[in-house]
Amino acid sequence: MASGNLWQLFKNVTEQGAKQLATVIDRNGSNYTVTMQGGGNTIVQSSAAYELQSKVFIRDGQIVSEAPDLPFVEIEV
Amino acid sequence: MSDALRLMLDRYISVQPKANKLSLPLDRNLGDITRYTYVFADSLPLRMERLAVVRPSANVLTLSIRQPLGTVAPKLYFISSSLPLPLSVLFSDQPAPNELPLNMSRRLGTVVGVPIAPPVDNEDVALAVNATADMSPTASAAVTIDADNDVGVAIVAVANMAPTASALISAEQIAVAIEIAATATLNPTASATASYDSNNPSVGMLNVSSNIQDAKLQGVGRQSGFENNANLAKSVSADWQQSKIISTNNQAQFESNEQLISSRQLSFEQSKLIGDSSKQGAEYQTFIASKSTLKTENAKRISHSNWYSFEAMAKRQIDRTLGAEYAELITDRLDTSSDYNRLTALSYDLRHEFARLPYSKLRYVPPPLSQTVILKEQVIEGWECGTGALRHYVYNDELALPMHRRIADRGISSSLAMPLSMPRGVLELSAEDADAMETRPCKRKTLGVNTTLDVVTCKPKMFGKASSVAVNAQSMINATAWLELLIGEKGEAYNKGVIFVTNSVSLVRSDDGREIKMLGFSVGIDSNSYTWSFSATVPLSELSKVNTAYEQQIGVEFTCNGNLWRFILDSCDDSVSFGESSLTIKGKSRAMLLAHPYATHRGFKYDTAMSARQIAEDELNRFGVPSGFTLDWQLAGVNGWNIPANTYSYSNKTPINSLQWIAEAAGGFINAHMSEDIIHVLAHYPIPSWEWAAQTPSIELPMSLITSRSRGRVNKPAYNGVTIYGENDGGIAALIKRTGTSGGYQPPMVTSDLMTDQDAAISRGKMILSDTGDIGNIDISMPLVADVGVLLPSTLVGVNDGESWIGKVSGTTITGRLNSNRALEIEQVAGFERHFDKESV
Repeated sequence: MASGNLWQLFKNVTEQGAKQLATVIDRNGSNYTVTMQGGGNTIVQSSAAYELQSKVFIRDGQIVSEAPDLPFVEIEV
Repeated sequence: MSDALRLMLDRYISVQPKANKLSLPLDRNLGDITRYTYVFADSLPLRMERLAVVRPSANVLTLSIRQPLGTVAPKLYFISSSLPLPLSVLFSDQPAPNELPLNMSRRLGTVVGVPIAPPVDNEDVALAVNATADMSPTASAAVTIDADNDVGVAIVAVANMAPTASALISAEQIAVAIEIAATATLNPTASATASYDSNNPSVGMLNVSSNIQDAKLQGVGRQSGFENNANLAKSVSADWQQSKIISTNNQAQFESNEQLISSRQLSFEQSKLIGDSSKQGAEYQTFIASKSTLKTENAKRISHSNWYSFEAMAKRQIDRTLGAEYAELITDRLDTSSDYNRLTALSYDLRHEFARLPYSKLRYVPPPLSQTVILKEQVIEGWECGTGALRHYVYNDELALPMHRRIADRGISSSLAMPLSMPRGVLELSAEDADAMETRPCKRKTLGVNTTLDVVTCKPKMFGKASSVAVNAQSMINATAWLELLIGEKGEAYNKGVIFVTNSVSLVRSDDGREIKMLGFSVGIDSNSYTWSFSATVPLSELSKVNTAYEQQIGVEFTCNGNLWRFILDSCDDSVSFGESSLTIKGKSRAMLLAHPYATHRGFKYDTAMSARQIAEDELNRFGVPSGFTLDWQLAGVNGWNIPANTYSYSNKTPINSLQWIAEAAGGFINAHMSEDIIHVLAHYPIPSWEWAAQTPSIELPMSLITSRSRGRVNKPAYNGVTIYGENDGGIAALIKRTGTSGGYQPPMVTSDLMTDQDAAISRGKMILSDTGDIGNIDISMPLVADVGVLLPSTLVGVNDGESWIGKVSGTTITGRLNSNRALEIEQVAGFERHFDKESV
């Protein structure tokens, strides 16, 4: 038990990179320059068209989907 | 599970080392010092060492009368030059040396100085000493006058003395304090009876007075006298001359055979007993007794409340020291004292005069055996030395030694600078030594003595530094251990006794109740598994009952120590080889029916806003068709969180998949009930890990139940915030952060389709932030007992495995097997999550 649930450990190993929120700031063909949620720019690719300043989810250098633009709330626990 | 009662050894009492075991490297042997002269008792009528109880009875002594009747023998005193100082006086209380000429005459047994009141300190060690001395002398005298015309007289005198002295010494471990209480009680009784023949004409009895000459009887109220055969009888007094009785209220005297009777005193001249409330004296056999003193002249005993003193065999008790002159034994506790074989004992200090033992722990060193004292500073005229005259010093040795001087009074370290004894009168110093002397007034080479000097004593002065003597003592310790079983000091096993666990287990088919024999089993669950897993080893002969190849969904009911599980068997594996065979069956909870392959994958979308709980319940009753399962919802509030319309949408999920999806969104998990068709929807951290230390768990796991423990530790990042982002337009974005922090140390963003409400965000955030820091994964084995029961995942448990901490159950496995004695052993191994870094509240 100390090693934990085997299936869970396996899932952790094989887990895909998490979806990250980013904002499109530039487009060059299928290359998009996006600003990550936590700051910093990176180039991702997508064959789909995304408008500048739109929010997108990216994963592993690809734009996965368009993301909703949601207002942030801060909650202390 | 061992819970043997703890025997608590409360204290040890050590008895003093035996004196004869001391190995003393002193350069002086026992008996080497001759400054003391001892008086032997053979000149005394009674041997000194004779105990009172063995003395001859009083009437035996009458034959040795050598004194005229009516006289009292003078008291005997010992003249001794061997006792320059009172034996029982503190050094500081002693008179100056010059006040004590060596040929002093001091009455032995006298005490100079103030009795020492020992400090009262009896905390740790108590030595009780009870010494009992019983003296029951009997004095009787019988006189019979046979002539018929005379008076027949019978006299019986009885003296009983039963003194009892007890002493109690109490001492702390180091600082010795002595408290001695000795009590000697004397109860003398004297009676005299005079009988006569009333028919004899020569007996007269009057109340007031009668007087007979030539067979006359005289009786008066206070006096009667017989001249020849006179008999005087009174209630109180009789006095005889020749054969007369003189009686008065307070006294009776016999001259030839006289008897003194009074209410307070009996005096016999030939066999005389003097007794009063505090004293009885006889001339040849004297008893002196009081509550604190027994004194006899010929074999006298002097006892005080704090010490007994024997003349010519002095016994000293000073504060913490008992000294004996030859080989004294002074005993505490259970010892007795005899005159020539004395035993000296102190609780922690033994000191002999001739072989002194300093008690190093108390930092005692013995004083030098000879104390040099400057008697007078002498100045020789004409000897100029610098600005002063050459000074000569006259020394005197052989002064009495302070028996107990603390080294602290004299400085701790240094070697023995002074010889143990010095020739009287001269101290010669080398030039170096003379130069080194701080008190040296003149730097001449030699200090001489002017023998014509008028020697006047001055105050004692100590030369040299403090002496120290190393004493190696090999001690025989007679130790008495006092074992006290302190029931009140409760170990945790107290009042619980031995825990007996009677295991019972059974496995039967649900449909026809047929019992399935088992050789061993394992059943368990954890927070990442939605069902209980069951496996069992059964005899191959049971194959027909559990053959899942022929029968689908064989339901079984498994009971272990009163806990019931229901399973559906989904596996049956057997193997046969020569001489052995095995059959293993496996099963899961009935919730397995909600998962593949028993349930189909499906897709769905809700067009209306619902709560998470409503959606979950609807998953179990899709289109109004009940699955038979119900929910036990304990995640993110009573009804969970709100999910807007057109948000909950999925495809290709079984009902179990759907429930897991919902639970995971808010940091939860699902578990099947042990026996019922209930799905528990639980939070991974119903209480955040940083609040555990302040909790009072409903389940306590005592150390006595723990049979084994294994620990693993993992250090996870100590995130203080997490960003959670919904994936739909109806979702929310939230930064969940620990109170009082910036929340800037975050894991990667968490996204979820169902992150549609703050309640869900908070629940998910607590789960993520709880799973941080220094985490211990601890497996603890225990018997499966009702007090603890089956430990279900996410339950908080207070654990005492040597440390007391609160942990969360992450999973449990209950195993059973037959041991070598064919006895059933059942053990629960629970996994706990412990947060070491959050345990300080």
